[in-house]
Amino acid sequence: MKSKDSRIIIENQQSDFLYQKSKSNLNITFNRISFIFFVFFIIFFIYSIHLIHLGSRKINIEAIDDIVKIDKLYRADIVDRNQEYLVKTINSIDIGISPTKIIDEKKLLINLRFIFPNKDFSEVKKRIKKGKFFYFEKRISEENYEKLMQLGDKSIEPIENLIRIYPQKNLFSHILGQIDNDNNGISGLEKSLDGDLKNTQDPIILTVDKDIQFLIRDELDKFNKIFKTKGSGAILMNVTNGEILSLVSLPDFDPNKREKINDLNYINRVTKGVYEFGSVFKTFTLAAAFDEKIIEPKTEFLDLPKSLTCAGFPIREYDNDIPSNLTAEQILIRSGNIGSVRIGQKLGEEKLRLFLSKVGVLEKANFDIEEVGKPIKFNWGKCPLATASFGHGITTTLFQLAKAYSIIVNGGYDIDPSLIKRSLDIKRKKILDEEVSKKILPILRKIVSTKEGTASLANVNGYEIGGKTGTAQKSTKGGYSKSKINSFVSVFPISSPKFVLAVMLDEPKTNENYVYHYRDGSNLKYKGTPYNTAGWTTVEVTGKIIEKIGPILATKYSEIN
Amino acid sequence: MKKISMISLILFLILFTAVIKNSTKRIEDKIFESKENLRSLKINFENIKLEHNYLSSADKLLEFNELYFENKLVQKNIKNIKIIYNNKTQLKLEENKFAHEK
Repeated sequence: MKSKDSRIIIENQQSDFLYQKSKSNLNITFNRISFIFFVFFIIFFIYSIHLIHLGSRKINIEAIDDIVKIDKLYRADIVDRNQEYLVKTINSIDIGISPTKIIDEKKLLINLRFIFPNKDFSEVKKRIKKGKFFYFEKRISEENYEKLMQLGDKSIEPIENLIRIYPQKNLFSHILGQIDNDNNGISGLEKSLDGDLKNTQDPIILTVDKDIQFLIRDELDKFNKIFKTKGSGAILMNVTNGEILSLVSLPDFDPNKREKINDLNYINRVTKGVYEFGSVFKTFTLAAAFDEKIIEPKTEFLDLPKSLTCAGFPIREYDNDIPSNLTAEQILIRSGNIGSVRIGQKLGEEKLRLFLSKVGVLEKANFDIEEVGKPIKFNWGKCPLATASFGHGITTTLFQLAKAYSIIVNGGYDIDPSLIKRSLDIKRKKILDEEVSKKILPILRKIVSTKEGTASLANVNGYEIGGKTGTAQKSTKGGYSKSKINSFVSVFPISSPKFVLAVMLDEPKTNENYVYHYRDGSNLKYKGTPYNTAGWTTVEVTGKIIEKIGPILATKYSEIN
Repeated sequence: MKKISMISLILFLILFTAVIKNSTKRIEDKIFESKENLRSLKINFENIKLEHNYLSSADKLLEFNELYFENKLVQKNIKNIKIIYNNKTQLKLEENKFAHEK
């Protein structure tokens, strides 16, 4: 019994761990199952650490995409408001040959001749002999690329490139600008949006409409030839939100050609060109007087002289038949210089200056492109106040004129003209009295719709156009030249203004053969330009433009507000 | 018993993590593949759109007009552009209210 008990004790001892402190180290004894478990546990432990490590790494596919695109000198596309391409980046492949890697020259040339039968191979042979890398063919088709790759010749090296394509050619050249060979913007939006274009994935959406831009450019181009102008410009703006639907400056250029343009005549006449625009400023004088509540449209100005002298310089009426007694409204309709001077004097220098500054005419404008002109500093005083009242001696850009007219006719709300589509919920800030629009709009309409007005040729049926003409002599160093800047800023429809279209012609000339069709319902025609004034040049161009773009604006953009 | 259940739980979790990880990797591969396919489709779409933009540009349309429809296409007068209202029972024509001068 004793021996049996002792045997059981021995078995129990065998199934236990026995920790014994040896002389040198800890002595661990396992049984078989524990040992196997321990090995498995270690393996699982290692794997679980590995899994946790793998799990903690995040694979960001989008980030990989970004890297790929940046590596390829990515540049975002630009589209118009209807998502039509204005600029598109496409990949192209150039094929180069490394002569040092050629194994069998004869075989290579035979194969290449088979793929490119029309290529001059004597030149290729010469280049191979020189032993330096050269471009065999640029921008090859996908079909030829596949054929070349099937040759499996190591000396043929495909090099991937990016090409910036402007499918509308000249149409948006002054807006879009150009890029250099290193893919950097050098003018227009390509320059001002350079960073965004390189980092944005989605196309940049502009406010312009490709079709409207085409129609305006087409008409301007036609009339540049008729009136033999040096150049011209036009801008179409939404008066409510400042969105620019079209901006054309002629002459323009084809950005696809990547030519270096140094000729000053290629200046952006809408945003960069600073001009004296003349009588279009009379609207500002009258609007300022309405804003200050100094006069009303029916306020009378009696015994107005035909001429005034200020600092030895005469100020005359353009039209000698203009009556001596006029209301404020009639002064603008008949474009009276002396009457405008009287309104300006009543208003005073400070108030006129403040008004012009409020509507953004005097200072350099902030805009989406960098090609923006700075109006020449105007030295105010007694005589300058008189001349500024009828737009003489004071300068600005056509872009700023369009903006100022938009503010005057939209109820007095400030706008931030833009070429880039932004969200519509912009807080509107009122900067003019609402009455200004209500008072000025019927007067602008009468300039177009009445016989006394200077813009009856723009009275296109159905569009309720109003506006103001401006004929100014071009200033030269120390005086004025005989060349003119003829402008017309139109607003339509007058009952609920939606658009401002400002058009200018740089140095137009009269045309003896051009036939005018009166728009007063008489169906009368008149051959030849009688006077080189805005009323006979720019107004005619504006009428033709609105006739073309009107149906699009009235249907596509009738709900624009 | 407690030890065994803890160890089994850990083992189960490790195995479960491994399975999940594998399936996640498979899904990620599929997403990557789909994105790559989408990218090539997008490139195709953009190229076709560019072609369409070019062929339907005002410049081209006027060219086609001169070639094929010289007398058939006429400019529309705003007075002839009407607005159609669908009144459930009947269609109603109304004047375009772009300008409403009295």
